[in-house]
Amino acid sequence: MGDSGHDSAADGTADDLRSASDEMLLLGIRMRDETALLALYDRYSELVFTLAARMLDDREAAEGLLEEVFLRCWRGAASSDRAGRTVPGWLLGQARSRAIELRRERAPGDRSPARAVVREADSPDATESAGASGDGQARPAADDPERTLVVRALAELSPPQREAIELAYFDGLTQAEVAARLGLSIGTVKVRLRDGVRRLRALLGPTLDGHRAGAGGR
Amino acid sequence: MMHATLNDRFHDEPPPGEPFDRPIGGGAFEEPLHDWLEAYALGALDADDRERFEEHLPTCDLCRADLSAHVRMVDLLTYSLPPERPAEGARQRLVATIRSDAASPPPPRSTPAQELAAVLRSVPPAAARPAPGPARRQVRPSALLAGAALALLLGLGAVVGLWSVTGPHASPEVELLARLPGGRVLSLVGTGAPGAAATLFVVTGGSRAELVVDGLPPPPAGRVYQLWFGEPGQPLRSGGVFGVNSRGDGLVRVALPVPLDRVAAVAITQEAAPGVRAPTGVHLLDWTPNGAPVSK
Repeated sequence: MGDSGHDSAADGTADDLRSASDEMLLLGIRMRDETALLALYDRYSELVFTLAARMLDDREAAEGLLEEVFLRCWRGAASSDRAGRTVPGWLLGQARSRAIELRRERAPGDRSPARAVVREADSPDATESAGASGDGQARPAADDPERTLVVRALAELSPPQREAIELAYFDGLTQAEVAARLGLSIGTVKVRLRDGVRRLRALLGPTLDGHRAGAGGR
Repeated sequence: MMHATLNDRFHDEPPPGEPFDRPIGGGAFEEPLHDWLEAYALGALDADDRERFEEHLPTCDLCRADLSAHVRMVDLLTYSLPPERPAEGARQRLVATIRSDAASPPPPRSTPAQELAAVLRSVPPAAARPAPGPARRQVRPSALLAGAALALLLGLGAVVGLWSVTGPHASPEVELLARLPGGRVLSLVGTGAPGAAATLFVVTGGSRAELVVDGLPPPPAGRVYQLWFGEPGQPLRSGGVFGVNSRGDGLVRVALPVPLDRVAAVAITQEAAPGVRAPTGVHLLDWTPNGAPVSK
């Protein structure tokens, strides 16, 4: 990711930090080391950009949002107000909040989805689908274990649950707005969101909890 | 975690106009605020409900306990999208922006490790690990600064990125100290376990070490992984046995059986549980100063 066209002065040291933990990089950012910021950017820019591009359906706007999020990180926000979130979780939260603001500035009152709701979770070959590079070139995503797990978990939800969650999360709709969009009662939407999230947590929780806990010798 | 009260009643979707459509908080019953947790984590509450839930949060141990897990799970949803990569120019624009950002201090002169090394270099080891004894040492400003840096680091270490694209990591304080002068960071590589890698972080003097393993397949039943250390002219000595989780990740605290300055080789083999006195398996991953094969 991002191996060419990088800033020459910062690249060598950013590469040196490739194995550093997120917390180490935040520490570096607090010490005003731009190589630490670039290492964090190299690690998570694709993830943040993916969410921004999905929510805004506008690559140029998504790149502007990406810059805003990492600039906010550079100014120290990620170190001071993460409220216990992981670093990628904080970055995604920042991106999502800003994307919702931009959507509402762009089209007040328009709560239509930025893109058609992703339906790939219905496909058994979902994890074999391709993503898009900065040059618009497709590239394989099948070797991403996180993506495989999440796509499979989403496929376990009922289609109505999945639809409600995707409208709420990726389109930034409140549950009342989801209800209006789908022509359902708010009660029905609440139940779909609640049960869907609980089901996802049941499916993904053991993986999350065991991601680091399974090592022996401690 | 399921909760009693009205949850069970609402386990299935109500028909339109049924319970959840009643006004919240003022009807014949009050919808339990804990049932708002999922919508809150998704960011799907409207402003008034969000404010009300945030007033409720500090008063409810149950909600606080569940919230972080819900939020972590919701954060994963983006991983379900086909990844999209920003244009290369976006990174360059970010560099230009931070260099011209009025809210940012001047560009740094060195890497984080160098910055911290400069601070910690003048601090006796006791600053990192308090020495026993009643003597009171005169505290220098540099020691205060180093203490603050280390306290910051240890504080940050409490927040672990559980879902990191770069796999498991050593404890932040071990990683930092291993990267400072006197510490060692050894990368173990090899062809015995394709796709696997391991890094050994050893803090100054070898008093603490952690092995981070990434992508090593879980061993078969009755087998374990064993870590070995070699010094010149001596047979390999065991540094302990370990397992990995289902993802092949491991984070192992290691007690070096060889003085750090004499470590000439490190290797990982798979052996019969509970471990053996001398390695019998092939070296799945190993490290030597010049990359030469490790001799048994």
